[in-house]
Amino acid sequence: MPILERRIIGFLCNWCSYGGADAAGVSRFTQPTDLRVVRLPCTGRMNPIFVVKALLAGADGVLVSGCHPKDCHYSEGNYYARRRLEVIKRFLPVLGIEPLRFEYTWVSAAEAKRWQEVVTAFTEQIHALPPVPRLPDDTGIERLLRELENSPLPICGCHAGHE
Amino acid sequence: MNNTEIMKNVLERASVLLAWGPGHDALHASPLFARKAHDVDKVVMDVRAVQSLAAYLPPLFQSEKEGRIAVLARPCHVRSITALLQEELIPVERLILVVLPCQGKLDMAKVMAACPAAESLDAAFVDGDNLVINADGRQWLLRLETMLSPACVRCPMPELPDAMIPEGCECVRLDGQARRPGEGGYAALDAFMEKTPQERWEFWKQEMSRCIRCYACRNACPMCVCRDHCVASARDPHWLSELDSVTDKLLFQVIHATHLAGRCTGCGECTRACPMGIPVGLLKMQMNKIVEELFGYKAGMDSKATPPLLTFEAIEKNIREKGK
Amino acid sequence: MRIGVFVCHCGSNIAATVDPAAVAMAADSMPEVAYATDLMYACAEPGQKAIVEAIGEYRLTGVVVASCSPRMHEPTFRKTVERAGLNPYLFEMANIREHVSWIGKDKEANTRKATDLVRMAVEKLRRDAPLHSRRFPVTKRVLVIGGGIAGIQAALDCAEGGLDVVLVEKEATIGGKMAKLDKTFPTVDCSSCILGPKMVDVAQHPRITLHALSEVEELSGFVGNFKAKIRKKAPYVDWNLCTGCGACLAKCPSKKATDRFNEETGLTTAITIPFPQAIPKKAHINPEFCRHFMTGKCGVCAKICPAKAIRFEQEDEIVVEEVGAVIAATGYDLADWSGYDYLGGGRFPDVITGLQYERLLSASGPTGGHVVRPSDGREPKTVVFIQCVASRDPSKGRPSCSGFCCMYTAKQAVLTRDHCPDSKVHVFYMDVRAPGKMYDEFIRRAVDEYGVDYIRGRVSQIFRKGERYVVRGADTLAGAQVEVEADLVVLAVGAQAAHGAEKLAERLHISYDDQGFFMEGHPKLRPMETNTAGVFLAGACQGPKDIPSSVAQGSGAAAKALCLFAKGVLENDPQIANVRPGRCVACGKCVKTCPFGALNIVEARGRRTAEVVETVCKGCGICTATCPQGAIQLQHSTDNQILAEVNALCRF
Repeated sequence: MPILERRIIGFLCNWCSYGGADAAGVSRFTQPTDLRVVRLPCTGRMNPIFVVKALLAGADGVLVSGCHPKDCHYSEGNYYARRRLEVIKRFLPVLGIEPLRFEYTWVSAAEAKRWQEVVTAFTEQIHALPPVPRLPDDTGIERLLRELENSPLPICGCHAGHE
Repeated sequence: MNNTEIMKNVLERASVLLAWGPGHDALHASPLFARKAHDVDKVVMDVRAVQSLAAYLPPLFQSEKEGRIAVLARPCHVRSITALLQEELIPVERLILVVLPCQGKLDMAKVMAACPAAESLDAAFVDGDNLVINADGRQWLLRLETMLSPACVRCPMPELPDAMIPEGCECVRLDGQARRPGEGGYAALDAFMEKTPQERWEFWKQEMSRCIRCYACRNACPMCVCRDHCVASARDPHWLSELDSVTDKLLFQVIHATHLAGRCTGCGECTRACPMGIPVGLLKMQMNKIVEELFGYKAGMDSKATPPLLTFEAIEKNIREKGK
Repeated sequence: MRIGVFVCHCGSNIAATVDPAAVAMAADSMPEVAYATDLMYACAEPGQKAIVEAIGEYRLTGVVVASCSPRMHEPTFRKTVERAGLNPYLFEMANIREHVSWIGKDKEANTRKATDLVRMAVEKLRRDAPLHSRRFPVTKRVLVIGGGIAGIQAALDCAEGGLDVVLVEKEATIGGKMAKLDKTFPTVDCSSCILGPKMVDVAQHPRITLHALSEVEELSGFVGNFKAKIRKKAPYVDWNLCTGCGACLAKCPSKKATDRFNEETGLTTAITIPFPQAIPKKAHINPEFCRHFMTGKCGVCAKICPAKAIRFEQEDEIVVEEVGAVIAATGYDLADWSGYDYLGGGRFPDVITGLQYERLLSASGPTGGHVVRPSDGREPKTVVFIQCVASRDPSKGRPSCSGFCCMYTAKQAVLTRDHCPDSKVHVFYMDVRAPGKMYDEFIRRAVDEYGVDYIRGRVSQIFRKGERYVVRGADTLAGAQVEVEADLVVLAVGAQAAHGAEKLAERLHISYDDQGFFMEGHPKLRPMETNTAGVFLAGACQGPKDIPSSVAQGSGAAAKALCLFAKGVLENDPQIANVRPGRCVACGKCVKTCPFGALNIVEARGRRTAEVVETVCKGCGICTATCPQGAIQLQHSTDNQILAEVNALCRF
């Protein structure tokens, strides 16, 4: 059977949205299975470049979710995130990347239902788009090299000690 | 006092005057670090003086040997310097701005396209409205207006308004005639955005496959103060691989544009510096447009302003709120 | 690194919709994984033992557990690996229960997702560095915010346990809602008789500092070392001199001031003491009604005061208290029911809230304990109680049950029959919820012994008929519409968080729900804790509670504070930012954006660099996202770790 999933990466703040996603699980709110979550301490930790990095690396969609404004566990993190993420969302079109591939939102730890709705809606949004376009070089020897780089052994001496 | 005398006078108060001097041929000017009065006689400051000297300032100020540092700047360069002052990366009390009224900067790509023989020229000079090139035993007359950088043609600010002199900064103005102001805006970007998303994606795919990862764009950028610590050449953090990959090349451009969000003054140095002629400045232009739309902010206009991505408002006027 | 991966079945919680053995097998071929297996219950004793043994047997240097949410058991497993000799931060979790097995039934897709999450955890773990906590001293003082019964209990228990306590109360007296009650259910004993002595204990306890008429404006610092900025509002009376004799109250010519303590069932003087048993028993002036403040002419109180304590020129005072823990006990307020037009929305003088009725019942209230109609002072012949006003009403955005209204309505019905033996009492109810010790028995007594008429159904309208009111509603058991003519209608209005609770939550850096109630650390297992270390909850600020539950939670929160300080030193969370001076260009962007002032630019070995103040950094990572060179990295959430997680998902 072909895999009908898309590759969706979620960056969730630990205190609100990750808790909301947990609460949605505890409540057994059914959700699509495409999303994989990276847990962050705060959306303020979210470097907007992670969004583009993920999309260029082959993610079909990126979802960032944190605490509602005013409710940041660290007071101000989501305020910084809001500016940075809005900027990067508006930046995507110049690269020719569909801006609908990226959304950011706020879901509190109490909003299990809302988390279910956010995940479901975003997954549908990504399924309505074709798979993310890829740049041509990420195959063959380059990929092999990357795998090698991931191996515990250093590729060569020149990389050791290099920052 | 004529301009040379003014600059010599400034040099009496400064340990160095950053200026432009003769380049490798008659069409180019090179940075000149004038330390003695007679160095000032070599200064070139016509359309050939294109490079922003702002990029030299942060490392130069770190040197304890330097006293005050004077820098020759066009109004667009002043914005970069103001942006550096905003981030407290250079000390205002040690800076002397020497501002010249701008007649525009040559776009060498245009010159080379109009006159390929200029590769090995015998002489070149400005004569009224024309750029005159002698090469291959022939003479070319190029209308200067058509040889300027597109940013200069649209530049709304060839003369520096008094309000833009950074607070507390000594500023000396040179004599001269500035060109007439252009209408500003983002015309090149708007034209690019007329393309379909697929065309834009294909455009970058093609353009970035020509990138040779020389990082001239970064090195020319006055706001790239990370210098040797740029993430592009780091393994920790390891944002970019060492592979010759289009993905990583494009990602670097995104990193550069993102790091410049709310900081880029649109000086155009990145595009000018690119030896492959890739219009990387488009990405920064998009960033500047977004920042202007969202925060009503342009970098380098006010030395006391905080760049918008280093601050926030509890309620953002121009961002539609999510959730609840 | 030699990584061990343990995939938990969680009984059938995970194994029913994920194949743990398949996940373990896939994990076996992931980079640097030396051992992978599945376990029935990883968190149970045998599961933890298996992990400890495997660490020894396979010489593991890092562990991934794929099970429930790390918000649940990360601390558990960190201790497990630490017991086996590993650094507790060489551990990662993959959340394959809340995020996988519980949200979908497609076993194949779930197994694939679980495998991806394990791969992410492995890639993150490969880039983990051992981290070590710093120990720091603590201030063994507790700030209790709110002097209701929960706050009083918390303050007394902390003080008895040897901690110095700072108790901050917004009103001029402690006592909270309980002080306003006449009697308490199900024992019908006098509220102020059981509360009063505790209030006196607070006043007399040498370890308790009470700031009444005060609010917390700012809380900075971190667990063990908070600084609270407290605004003491000017009472315009020097409380050091005021003896609470009440002479000023007797002579004050402005007698039409809002009486907040009596729930506005009566009026009071501009200079006032909320009630006879108030603690502190000190007078304060309400400048909104004081003639001196309004016209500049008066000053009768100043003339009459035998202690010469009146200070019209007094200004708010800011005090800063250093404390190591905070207990929020700000209680509740009744929901705003002005939008309930069909109940009159507050327009009918004889349709009042249950709390107002308590003041009419109370001997210290405006009527001296005589039950009379606010409109004409006559004793009511028929009293109707309506339950679930602004409760269990999703259409008004108030879906929850406040839990204690059924009981106090029954109590008030019983007291009505006591006060006015020839009155008729009707109660409109949806369900009677009485799940406490002797609670249901009490309801039965109201019906059987006191003849209270319980009508099961909602009220559709109240309208005036002459001097009386018609309450129209449904009797769903009889299947008929009923109309009752009443002299007085008492509404059991639901509870919401106290006014200003959300603002306080923001100041304390804790979360709150859509009714403003503060969020507990875990709905079952951490009801007293918040997600901010050192900030605890007591009483109805966490959710509606009756008196015994509030007292219990007050004691519980005190126990939490005492536990926290039992060691004398605390260990910080080492997952904080770290600067690599070699990469830092001292551009100061991190300093600008840090919300806690945890970063400074310092001169080190001849060059300028950013430096993290380890006890102040809370580990949010804003600096890491801000630093263009990546010179400052949030440990355990570094750029390389997040990039590795992304790459783990985008392998091809």
